[in-house]
Formats: sequence, structure tokens, C-alpha cells
Amino acid sequence: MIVDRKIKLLSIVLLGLFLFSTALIGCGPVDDDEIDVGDPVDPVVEDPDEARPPEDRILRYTMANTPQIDPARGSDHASASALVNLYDTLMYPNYDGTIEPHVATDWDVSEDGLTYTFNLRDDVVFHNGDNLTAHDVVFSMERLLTVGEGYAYLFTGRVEQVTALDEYTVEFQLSETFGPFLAALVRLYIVNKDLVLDNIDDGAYGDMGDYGTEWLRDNDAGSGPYMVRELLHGEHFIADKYDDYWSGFEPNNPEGFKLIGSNEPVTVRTLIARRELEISDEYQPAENYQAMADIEGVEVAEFASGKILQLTLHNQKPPTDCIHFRRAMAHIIDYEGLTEHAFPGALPAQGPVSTALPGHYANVTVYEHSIEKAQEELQQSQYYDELDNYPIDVVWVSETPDREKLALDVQAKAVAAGIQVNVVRTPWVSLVEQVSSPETTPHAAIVLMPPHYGEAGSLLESGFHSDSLGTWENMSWRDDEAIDSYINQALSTVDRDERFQRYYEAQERIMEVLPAIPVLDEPEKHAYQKAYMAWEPAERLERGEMVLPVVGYMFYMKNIEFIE
Amino acid sequence: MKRTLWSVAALIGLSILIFSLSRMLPGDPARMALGPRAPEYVVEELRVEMRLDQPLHIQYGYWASGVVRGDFGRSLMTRRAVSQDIRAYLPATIELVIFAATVQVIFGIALGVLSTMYNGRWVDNIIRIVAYLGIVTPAFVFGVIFLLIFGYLWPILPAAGRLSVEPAITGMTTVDSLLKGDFSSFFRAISHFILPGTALAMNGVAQLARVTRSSMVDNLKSDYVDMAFSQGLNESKIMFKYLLRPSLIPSVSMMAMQFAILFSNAFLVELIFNWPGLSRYGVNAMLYKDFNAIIAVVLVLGIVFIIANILADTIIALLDPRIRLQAGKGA
Amino acid sequence: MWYKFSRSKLSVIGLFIVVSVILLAIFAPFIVPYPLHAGAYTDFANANQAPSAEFLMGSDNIGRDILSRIVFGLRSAITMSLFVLAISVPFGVFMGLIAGYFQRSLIDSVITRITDIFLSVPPLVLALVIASLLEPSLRNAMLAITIMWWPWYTRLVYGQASSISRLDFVRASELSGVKWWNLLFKEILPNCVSPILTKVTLDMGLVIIIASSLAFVGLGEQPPAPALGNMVADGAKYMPEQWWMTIFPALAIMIVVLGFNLLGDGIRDLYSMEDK
Repeated sequence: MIVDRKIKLLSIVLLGLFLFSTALIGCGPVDDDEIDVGDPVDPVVEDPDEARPPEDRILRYTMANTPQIDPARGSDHASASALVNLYDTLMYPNYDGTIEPHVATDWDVSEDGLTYTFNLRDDVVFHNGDNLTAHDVVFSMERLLTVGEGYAYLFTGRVEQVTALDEYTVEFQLSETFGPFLAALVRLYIVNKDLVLDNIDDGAYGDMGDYGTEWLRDNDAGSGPYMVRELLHGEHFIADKYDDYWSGFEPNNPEGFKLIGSNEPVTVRTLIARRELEISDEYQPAENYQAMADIEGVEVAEFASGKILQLTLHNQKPPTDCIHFRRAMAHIIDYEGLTEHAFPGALPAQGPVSTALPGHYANVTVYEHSIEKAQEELQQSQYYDELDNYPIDVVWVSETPDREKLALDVQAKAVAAGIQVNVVRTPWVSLVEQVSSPETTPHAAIVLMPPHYGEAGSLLESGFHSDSLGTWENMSWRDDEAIDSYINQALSTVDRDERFQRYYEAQERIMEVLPAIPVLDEPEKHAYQKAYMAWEPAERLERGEMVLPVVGYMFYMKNIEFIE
Repeated sequence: MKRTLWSVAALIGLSILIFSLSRMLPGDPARMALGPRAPEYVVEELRVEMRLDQPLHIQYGYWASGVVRGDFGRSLMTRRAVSQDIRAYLPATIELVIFAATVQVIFGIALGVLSTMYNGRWVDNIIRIVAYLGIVTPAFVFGVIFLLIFGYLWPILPAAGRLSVEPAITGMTTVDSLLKGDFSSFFRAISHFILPGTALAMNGVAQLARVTRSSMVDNLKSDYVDMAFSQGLNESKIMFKYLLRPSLIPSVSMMAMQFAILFSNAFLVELIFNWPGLSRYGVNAMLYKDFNAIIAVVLVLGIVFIIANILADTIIALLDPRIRLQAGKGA
Repeated sequence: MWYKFSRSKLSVIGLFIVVSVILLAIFAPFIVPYPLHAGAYTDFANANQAPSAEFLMGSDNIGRDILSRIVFGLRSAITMSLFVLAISVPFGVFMGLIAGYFQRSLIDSVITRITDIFLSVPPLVLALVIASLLEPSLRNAMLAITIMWWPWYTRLVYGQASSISRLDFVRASELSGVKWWNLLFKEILPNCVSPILTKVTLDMGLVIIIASSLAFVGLGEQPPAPALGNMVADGAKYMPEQWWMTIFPALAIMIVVLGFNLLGDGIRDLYSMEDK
């Protein structure tokens, strides 16, 4: 009923405008023709409320950006969602957090935990018809390590050598034990060696030229269930089903998918309402999820995805280089207030690791919202007397409009404590570029931290280890030996309990020195067309089963089926 | 001719300005291109390859010679050649602007004529008020209002994006669908144009209606129209032959100005309607500080601007024998 | 004079709008219901309220009163317009006078070429480019618009100045030893006043349009300070449910610009009547 009243009000306000617009438009006879022809031809306009699968069976979803489909480069959500469909990996992550063999059939681990030997399936065929062999695995790992981007950090400094023992046996030699190695292997996308070598250009990698980076920017060399049709950067990415995929398809799997690289709230909602979009991205404002949930046949699924919304602080730049200042910031944030109205469904973060992620430390220190405590901390800060001279920039990513609420709230609360805050809107790509050097990194930026495999170590390493400084995940510029050593020890520990103990220590240390302030444990929300599609992660959620999706696998197309 | 030359010089000046600014700001383009975790030796290699180790004017020289060959460098935003981006996005903008210009000509002149025909009566007054509102309202406000009314409250038109016709031939959806003889696609493509195109055109419609009306009303008082009336010629014939044609000259020169304004306003309208055109690309490039893309967009728009001016001059010369004569003398 | 002016009802409406907007802008902190809402303020419990007695034009997604923010937005728009014109008009006019007076000299060609450069790219595009090269802020947006605004005045004055400076009496007084700057300001400038004044009034509206366009893209006043263009852009994300977030600021822009345009036309008519 509220809606009715709103609409009525709106009609009154708009009446004048409406008249004047129609007067203008309605003047010429030409215009009527245009509307008439537009109407019956456009099938979507014909009956916007009817929910049924698209005729071409191509599943469409939005993301904040178009993907980087080079497996040695892409690592954000959009890229991961494309890569998991284009490429095969040795291991496959289940939604319950377990891992199962995929291209690998079985494996051996040496006594010292340093040598892993995998036997591979012999029936995996690349999109161009080549057979996938151990040589491709070797090449893929070498290429990933050399180019060094994307998920390379998982293996850099750990994988010493990869050898093909025979056509279908591959051996990884590690330089140190790496507990979650099997889990990390879900990020080793296997590229077709011969195809990449055929498409090498001049470049900076010596013998390897550009290592195929130019070609792989727009093409795939994979064996995954889907293959590239078209990548239009900044617009969309389209992939088609690869009919000869070795593990086959369900009859109602999508014939292809289209990733729309723009998530303007208005567009997303319009597309959902017109059934021109099957799954929304996770960055919509709360208001928009509400509006989409009200559309017939559309449901909003909330996954405990293990992601933490945090405020990363520049630990080298005044005034955020002062620990008391950082602690004051941590006290300024109104965690409870934010979850109450602005971020429904979120919970105050319990440390840097989500409670949903194995390895979370339950007794970690948390900061409470208290302007008094913030002021106490500030008084100990060297900047206390000249706070006005040290305004701080709080950056939020412009593709994620909801985070402006957090930035503005931090600003409003900071004023009460005497800290000047500038709220700065920055596009994603610019932020990624800025954080590559300490000079251009902002004082504080709001980012959503994803686990790249299902354990605390993933997030701790990519977000807090000094090796990852200069990436968007770790823009704190804090080179902290204690944190590094806890993480290193943890990751090289094979025993789970002992590994988790190290994770706990790392988390406690992080909360003590605050490279970043964990703010919210945020569910990953997606609006989707429940009426005509079966989406496995959402169905598991409904059955009350665990869903711990490894980034990107939510969009694994073989787990989606259209329903008539 | 001279003016054209100066405009070209102006564009070169502008490109030098933006280029030097872009190189003076902090940030390492080579590192940006490869990413923070790329090995240092690879970055160094690329730095040399991109000639970042050379003095600024030499860098500009290389860049400029690239531009002449149609190579604007690589976009930070899309990570591919800017020239490729321009090729992908320009057709959508040109198509939108042409659509808007057509709307402007048809409705602007029609309203102007209507206004003259009913000079002083209520139709005239309404048109004048509407035209006034059209002039004072920024295009993005029209965009938002249209989106609300025709996209949501009375959803008869596609509210966002553009039809993609595959395979693309010219990249212009209407042209492509016609080339393939696919009329249903053609009409759907057109339907996507109506909201953004009209929002974009509104300002020009209003201006054109005003100019057409005022020059027609002026000419109404002229002797030759009086004479035509006194000879008892058919009213509509007088209207179109003796009144409209000579009155079109100011309208046409207005159109040339409007064409440029359409391109600037497209910057905002494309953003609202999520239109995959050059202007939206340009705005994003600006927000991302993607300098190669910014320069390219400015240069392309500048060139379009110059061409539009030349075209307008030519058309005016064709319409007006006096100017044609003068131009002949001058040359 | 007022009698002539007031004969046109539209001009009077324009004057009325302009005066009330300026009064609103000056007394904004005392008039608006929630002056705090124009600053750093959040109240998520009251977010997204439809227009009501409490929030006459509704509240935004942060829980701030739209009406209060519009009034403050108008304030910054007007200030910005005044600032831009206060700098670009004298500068542009001076350039135009000099170039027009010293025809065919080096100064003339330099100034003319520079104005050509600025006029060779669509104004909005140029302003966007300049504003984006700098850090986004109100000051830089003003700077960007000022930089691209003065050439229009140079061009406007140039023609006038060059034709007057060729008149016999100017040449004569020059020969009799009157200094050129005296001529510029005492003889030539007064002849340009009426077109300048008309253009200034019309430009008040135009500057507001360009400024709100910059703000629409996010290159103007930075949050939490309200900018009308930015409010329209933010609100557009929440259409149609929270329509008030975008429609009211959009209307505010329309009305202010309308006011200045009506007033400008009134002034122009006034001068053209006097000329006759």
C-alpha cells in the first residue's frame, strides 16, 4: 500500500512534466508510428511479467566489470567467474568446502610433503581438439609464475619445479610445505601449450615473447565446459557451450552465458524486471535488492560467502601511520548501527576472517563503537594537537554504491571525534592502479575481501602478507614480520589443527596493529530468476546446506539449469 | 579553410597539454600495464619499450607519429588499443547523434512552422513555453525524467542499452539490420533510440523551433511575402516556398552548432541510458584518468566538430546565393 | 526603466525566481528545516522516506532531508556561477578589448588563436577534461569552467572593439595624445556593456547547467556537501521507487536556469528597446 501512496504522490508531482513532455512528443504523427512498431516487435515489451527462460538459453549475469580472461592475470570476481567456465583445473572445490579430483584422477604426496604427483585423465580435450597432457599443466604453471599476476601469488615461492613424468603424470616439487596446496590448485587453470605457443607476439618475456598475453586477452586456450565467443572490454563477455566437454552436460544447462560488465543499479533492476538478466551481481544497494525481491518470480539469495567488508588503512602515511589513530578509527565505526539499517543481513565483523570461513578465530579482539574510546586513543596519538591538519581520504569504489553509506557514516562519526574525513569516490580500475605504490595509495579504502580458496589462510595471505603489498587486497603498506611469519608458518603446516592455531595468532596480531579495520561480515547477495532456473548454490542454501563458494564457482554454469 | 587549419592547430595544442599533464602525474604506466606482482625485469623491459625512459618531447613525438598512423596507445581501462575501443564505441554515438539530429530537424522545424502558422494564438504560446523549458533544461535532466516516465511509470520503451545486431557490419545497429534486411531488428533498434535520442534532442528541438519561428515571423513582414499573398497564392504554398525556405538559413547554421552540442550532451545522456557509445567511454576514461583514451576521445570529437562546421558552411552556401557569391569572390 | 521591464510578465517572473533563489542561498542555514543534513550526517533509520510533513521533499538513502540539501545545493551553484563569471568576464572582456584595439598586431593574433583553441572543442567536453585532469572538487570544477568560459567574452567584445577602434573619432583622439587604455575603457568598453550584461545574466543559468553536468558525473562538489547534479545522479540509481531523490533536484536546476534565462531575455529586450 505504501507503494500506492508513493506512486500517487509521484503522479501528482509529475503531472506537469508529463503534460509538457507528451505535448512535445505527441505533436508529430511520426512519433506514434515509432511507438506502435516498437511495441509488438520487442518480445520483452510484449509481456514483461512473464517469467520464462530466454529463447537462446544463454544465461546472463552482471558484474562490476568485464573479466580478464587470461588465467595468468584475472583474479577478481568477474574474471574468476569466466575462468572457471573456460578452463579446467586439477581439483574442483565443492560447495561444502571439500575438494575433489577433476582433471587429476589421483595423487601421491611424498613423506616430506614436498613432492606431489598427479595422474591425469586422458580424455580431456581442449576446445581446438588437442588432448590435455601433463606438458600443458607444466606450461600453465610456468606461465602463471612468470607473468606473476592473477592467482600466481598462491604458488610463487612455493612451487619450485613442475615436471611431466609422462603424458599423463605430472609432478610438483615444492620448496616448502604448503598445507592448502590441493585447495590452491583450483586456481591453476590449464592452458593449451601448443595453442599459446602458436600465438606468441613480441614481448618482454625473452624466449616466450609476450607469453601469449596479447592473444589470451581476448581468446581462450582452455578445455572447460564453455568457450569464448566474444569479449568486448567494458561491455560484455559471451561464451558458448563446448558440446564435447569430457564430463558432459545436463540437458538444461545454459547453451552459453553472457557476463554484462556493468552494474548500474537502474539497469540491473530493469533487466531483471524484463527477464533479460538471470543473476545480478553482488554489489547492488540494499534498496535495489529490496525492489528486485518484490518482482514476481525473483528471489534474493544471501550467501555466507566468507567475505569481509573492511577499511584498509595506509600504515605508512600520516596520520594513519599512528597505531593510536588507527585504533581511534576502529572505535569510530558504528558496527551495530550499520548492520541495523544500512546493511541488512550483514553482521559486525569478528576479526579479519569471516566466521563462515574455516580457520576463523572465535576469541579475536574486536573494537566497539565508542567515540569516547576513540578520543582516548587519539589523545595518545602524536597527531592529537593538529588533527585539523591531517584530514584523511576514505575511498569507496564507485561501482559499489552501497559502500558510500559506510564512507559517509565513517565521516559523520569521525567529525564527532575531531577527525576530518574526505569521502572519495574512485573507479575500481583507478584504485587498483593507485594502490600499486605507497605514494598514491589513499589513507583508507573500503574493500570487500574474498577468500580465494576455502580457508582462512587464503584471505590472510592475499590480504595481510607483505608479499601481497601493492595489490588492492593489501594496500596497507604494512610490512609486519610477525604477521608474515604466522602466515608462513601456518601455510607450511600440513596438520590442520596446528595450522589453524597459527591462523588464530595471525588474526590476533592483525587486530592488534590494524593494517585494516574489519567492518562487516557481509553476505553475498544475488537476485536471480527463481521462477525459471535451478541454481545449485541457491538451492543448497534453501535446503539449509552449507554453501561456501570459492570465488567464481557460484557462476559455474554446469550447476545451473533452466526450468520451463 | 583558415578556420579549419586553426582548429587543427588547436587540437594539436590540446593534445600536447593533456599528454604532458598525463606524463607528469605520479604513476608508472609500465607497472600499471603489467600489474603489481609482475617481475621487475619485465616491467623494466616494458618501460623501455614504451619509451618512458626518454625525455617528454621525444615521447610526444613517438606518440604523435603513432596517432597519425591511427595508434593512440593502450587504454588503461579496457587494456586494449584505444583505436580498437574507438572503433567499437564511435558508431553507437554517431548513430545516436544522427538520430537526435533527425528528431531535432523534424520536430524543431515542424514546431517552428506550427508556431508561425498560429502566430499569437494559444498553439503558438504553448509551443513557445515548451521551447523555453526545453532550452533551460539540461539534457541529463530530460534523460532522467524520460527514464522515469517511459521506462518505469508507463514502460513502453526500452530504458537502457542498445540492441546488438550480429554480426556487426558498420557497428550501427539500424544500418546493420537494414543491410541484412532484418526489419524486425531494425524497428527494435529504433525503439532503443527513442528515449536517449529524444532526451538528447530536446534542447536542439527547442532552439530550432525558436529560431525557425523568429526568422519566419520576420520574413512574414517582408515585401515578397506580402506580394505573394496579394497575388492570392495558396497559403500553404506561401508558407513553404516563400517563407520556410529563406528562413531556414539561420536554422541550418544553428544546426551546426547543435551538432557539436549533441556530442557534448551525449556525454551525460549515454551515461544515463547505459548507451555503449564513445561519450560514455570518454566519461569513464576521465573518471579513470585513462589519458590515452581521453586524448583520443577529445581528438575524435574535435575532428567531428571540424567536419560538422565545414558541412554547415557548405550547406549554408548552397542555401544562400549571396554567401555563395561572396565565397566565390573570396577564393 | 522598471516600468518598461515590468511590462513583460515573464521578465518579472524571472526576476522573482532569481531574487528568491539568491535570498534562499544567502539565508540557507536559517531557512531550511535540517541545516545539518547538508554536512557530514547520516541517519539510516530515516532513509528513503517519501515526501511527508517531516521531510517535505522526502529523504535520501542516507536519511538526509532532500529539501535542505537542495537549498544548500542551490547556494553552491549560485556561488559557483558568480565566481566563474566574476573572473572570466573581466578577463575575457579585457582580452577582447585589447585584441580588438590592436588589430592585426601580434597580441591580436595570439589572443585570437588562443580563443580559437578553446572554442574548437565543445565546451562541456573541455570542462569535463580539465576537471578530470585535476582532483575532483568544487574549486577545480570552478577553475575548469572559468578556463573555458572567458573566450566567449573575448569573442563577443572583439568584434565590437575592433569596429569601434576603426572609427574616426577614436583614431583622432589617439592622434591627439589620448592614451590607448583611456580609449579602451572610456570609449570602447561602454559600448559593449549591453551585450555583456545580457550575456552575463543568461550565462548564470548556463554555468549552472555546466556545473551541474560536471557534478552529475561526479567532478563537482564532493560529498557530503550537496551538489544538484550529483543529487540527480545519485537519485537516478533508486528510480522509480525513490523518485523524489532525483526529481526534486532536477526540478530545482530547471527552475533556477529558467529564472536566469527569463531575466536575461528581459534585460536584452530592455536594451534593444532603448536602442530603438
